[in-house]
Amino acid sequence: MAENPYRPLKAELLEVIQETPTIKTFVIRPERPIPFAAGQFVQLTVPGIGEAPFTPSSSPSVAEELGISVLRTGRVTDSLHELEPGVTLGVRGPFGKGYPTEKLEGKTVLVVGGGVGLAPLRSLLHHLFENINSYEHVAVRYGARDPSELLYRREFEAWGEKDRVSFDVTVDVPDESWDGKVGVVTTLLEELGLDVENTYVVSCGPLIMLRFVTLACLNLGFRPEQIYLSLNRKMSCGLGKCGRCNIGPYYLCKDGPDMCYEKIKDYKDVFSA
Amino acid sequence: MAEPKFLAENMLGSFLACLETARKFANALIDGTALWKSVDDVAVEQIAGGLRSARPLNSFKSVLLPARELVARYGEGEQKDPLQEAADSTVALVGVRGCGCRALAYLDAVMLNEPPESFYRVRRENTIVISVDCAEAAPTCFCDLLGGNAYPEELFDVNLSPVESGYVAAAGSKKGSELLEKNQRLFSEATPAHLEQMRQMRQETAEQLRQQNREYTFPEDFQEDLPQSVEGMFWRYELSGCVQCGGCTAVCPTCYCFLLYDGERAPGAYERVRAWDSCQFSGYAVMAGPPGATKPDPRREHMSKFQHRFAHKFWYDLVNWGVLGCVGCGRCGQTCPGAIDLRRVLSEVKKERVEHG
Repeated sequence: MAENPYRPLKAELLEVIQETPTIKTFVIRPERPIPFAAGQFVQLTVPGIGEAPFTPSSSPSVAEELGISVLRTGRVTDSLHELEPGVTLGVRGPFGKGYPTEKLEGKTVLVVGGGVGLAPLRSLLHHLFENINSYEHVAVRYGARDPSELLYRREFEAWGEKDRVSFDVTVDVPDESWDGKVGVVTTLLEELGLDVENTYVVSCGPLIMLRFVTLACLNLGFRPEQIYLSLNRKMSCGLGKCGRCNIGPYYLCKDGPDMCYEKIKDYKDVFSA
Repeated sequence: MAEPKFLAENMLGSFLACLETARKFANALIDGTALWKSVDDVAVEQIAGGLRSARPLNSFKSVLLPARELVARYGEGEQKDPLQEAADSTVALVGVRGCGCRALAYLDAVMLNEPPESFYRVRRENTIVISVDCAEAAPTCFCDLLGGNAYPEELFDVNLSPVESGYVAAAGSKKGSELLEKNQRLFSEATPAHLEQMRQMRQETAEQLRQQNREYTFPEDFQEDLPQSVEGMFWRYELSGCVQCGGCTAVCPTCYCFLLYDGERAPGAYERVRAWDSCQFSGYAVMAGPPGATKPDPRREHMSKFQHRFAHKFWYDLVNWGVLGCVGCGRCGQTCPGAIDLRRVLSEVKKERVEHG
């Protein structure tokens, strides 16, 4: 008989990294490897509390251990943030299609992240950086509300120094420590100097940000088919059945969670919040 | 298929007994209303009454997709897989109507496409479907408006057509033929008179449906007309009757959305439960969002929830499966405390297109 699709695999919590005051990265080792493609997600179970969907932030070339960055924002994530290494969690997956990495080959990839939205994009960045010669250029543009909420800040410098990679970051509200750019992330898109025709956009962040990134990109001359949005809703079953993640006829857990804007633009529940 | 048989009314109990399944459910007439009931809980006379009534108020979907079901155990302790338990059980459904067979076809399309929903799949494989013609239509029935018939045409193992003092029994599958063959002592040959009664009964129900639905006109192209109508004023009038009780989605034979939640059964022993959910409920589509702030909900407005039910059934399902997500059983209209009738809403969609198209 087929395996029970609802039963989680055991996963040991190896390490907890405090990334920001509200975001921790949980490194887990599932009882058997979970090979995943960049952008595919897993359901992480806090035993007895429930599960929630997260796209691993770690490299898709490593299936034995997964790093999952989680913003503390609700019932499951509150419980998760209380945990110490050594406990057993549960995990199901991977689910979804992930980012269209093959389609991006030979192109410039504009990666636009907002807040904890950089977490799913991190797996894409791993893939792009590991295979950088397959891509023309990778432009990472990132924004957060304030400097304390910048995710993976310790890695920014190294990203910016990579060949074929450019990186820029902005915050909405600066503090005394900040001498970088100020403004929402779309301000970084105004002077891109990219060859729009040869570029794909991949973006993840709050719904409101995705909406403005999409508008900004359309204004810059991008066509809807060049824009990919990570619409990470509260996917649940992962089988395209439970219905909680659907946008129009699509089930994000199966058809996404990264969707080409061309496919979804006519459904009015895409951006409404 | 073999020639149709005749099952005398007084052999109905024996027929039910010959179904060798662990669980049996049938239509039963309870205080004047037909309902799906466990055969063990009702008298055979009530089942006979149920099979001659209009379709039951509830749907058989609760057998294949229970309202609340343990789907996984994890952690310490008892690890028996609930999926194995589901796979080990067999079930008979006695009284699936024409609309029910179409609902089965729809649920098969949704639940069995890759990756399949395992619980539905194992139950479906272990289900024997005894269908029945509708000798009567409920006042809210409208299968005819969606091109359906009030008698089963697909996916049944044996169909029963109520006639005078018994049923015409016809096999619809190998399993059904074998069942009739194996229990041939219960049946006689159906006579031309029986078949004529069956034809007349079908015609009378069709006429009843035609009469009760003559005022309604549905769009010819749902996929085209429905999206065009969403700003129509009639939606606001219809919405004003909705109290978000979720009754429509609960009684619907094709609504399948669900919620998974976990609990601790004993220290260290956990279980995962699947329960029906409804797109009409607040919170159904709520997403994660910034800590402490109201969470984003792409369908926060009541209207967007209300229209979503129609969009799913009459638009998205055509895109995904090429079939409508509605079989015209009219249960939603019968159960709705706001008297929202799908026939009226869809006729308004049509009218909107004609007037403002």
